[in-house]
Amino acid sequence: MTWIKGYGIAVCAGALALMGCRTVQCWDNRVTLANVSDVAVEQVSTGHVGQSITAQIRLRSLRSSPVQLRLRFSWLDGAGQAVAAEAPTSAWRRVSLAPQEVRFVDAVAPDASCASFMVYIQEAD
Amino acid sequence: MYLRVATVGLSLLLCWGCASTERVDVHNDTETTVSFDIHDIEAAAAMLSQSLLQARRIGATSEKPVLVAFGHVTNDTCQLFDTDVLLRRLEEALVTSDRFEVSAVFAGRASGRDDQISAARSVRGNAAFDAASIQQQGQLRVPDISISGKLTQRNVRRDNGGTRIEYFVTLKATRLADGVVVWQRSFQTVKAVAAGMPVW
Repeated sequence: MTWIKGYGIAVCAGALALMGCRTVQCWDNRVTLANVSDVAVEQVSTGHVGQSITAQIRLRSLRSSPVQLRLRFSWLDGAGQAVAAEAPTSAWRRVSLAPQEVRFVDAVAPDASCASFMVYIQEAD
Repeated sequence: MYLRVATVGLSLLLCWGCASTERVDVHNDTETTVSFDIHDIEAAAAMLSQSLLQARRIGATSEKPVLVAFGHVTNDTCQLFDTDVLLRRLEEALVTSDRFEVSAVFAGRASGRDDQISAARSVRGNAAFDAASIQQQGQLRVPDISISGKLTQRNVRRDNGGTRIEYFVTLKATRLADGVVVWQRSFQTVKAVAAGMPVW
């Protein structure tokens, strides 16, 4: 019974510790979050405009203060090669989130050869 | 004499320490300036080009790309800023897309036009040139839409005596067939400076 009690205490302590840790939430490997805390990428979706793909990510701030992010879309063709890496469609963009705000950020691929994308997000200074 | 030598030596040391040039890593640069700088140009070009590429009312498809002419974009700021810097980035986004084309015949500024188009046609009838290589009649195209706009600056006094500089970039696309605006978008950025600082 002693080890059960100890195990239970350890599990509860771990759960309490995790409740206090609000780290970055992102399950999609297309999104890279660099040193961004308390911001969740809740959804990553794709669509089409004509024959070009579009991307949309849903961001949620878990903070009680405003946060500014820099993000950048990178577009890949069917072979995984980067497309128009220096074009305005792949330029840095700034997104501001109010406390607890949910915000959608969308982008369209530079041309129809793009088959996938990646997003890099960091906190703006 | 010793004082003179020391003064000259110290001056040289100070100059040696101050005179340095460094290359700015624009990709990772986070410095904020009071002007409408490269970061603002890139951010404006990114936002405006994304909006234009997603504009459904323009009706651009890869089967029938829309031909775009860049008209006049007025600079109404205190900055000595050539709007070409912004427009060329927008052109780059449109040229890369398979749903848009950019006209080099019709443009609001000379830098947007290629005078070689008319030069290549001026030799028609000149026996010195291979007639088969001369551009045929009726090949040039009139644009479908024209993009024009304005860059505006407002200086707003802050309570602490400083100044907020508000920049607005507004572009619109007009369908030339009927004069209807089919796209319009604005980009804003605001800078703040302390009291007594210049606003350009």
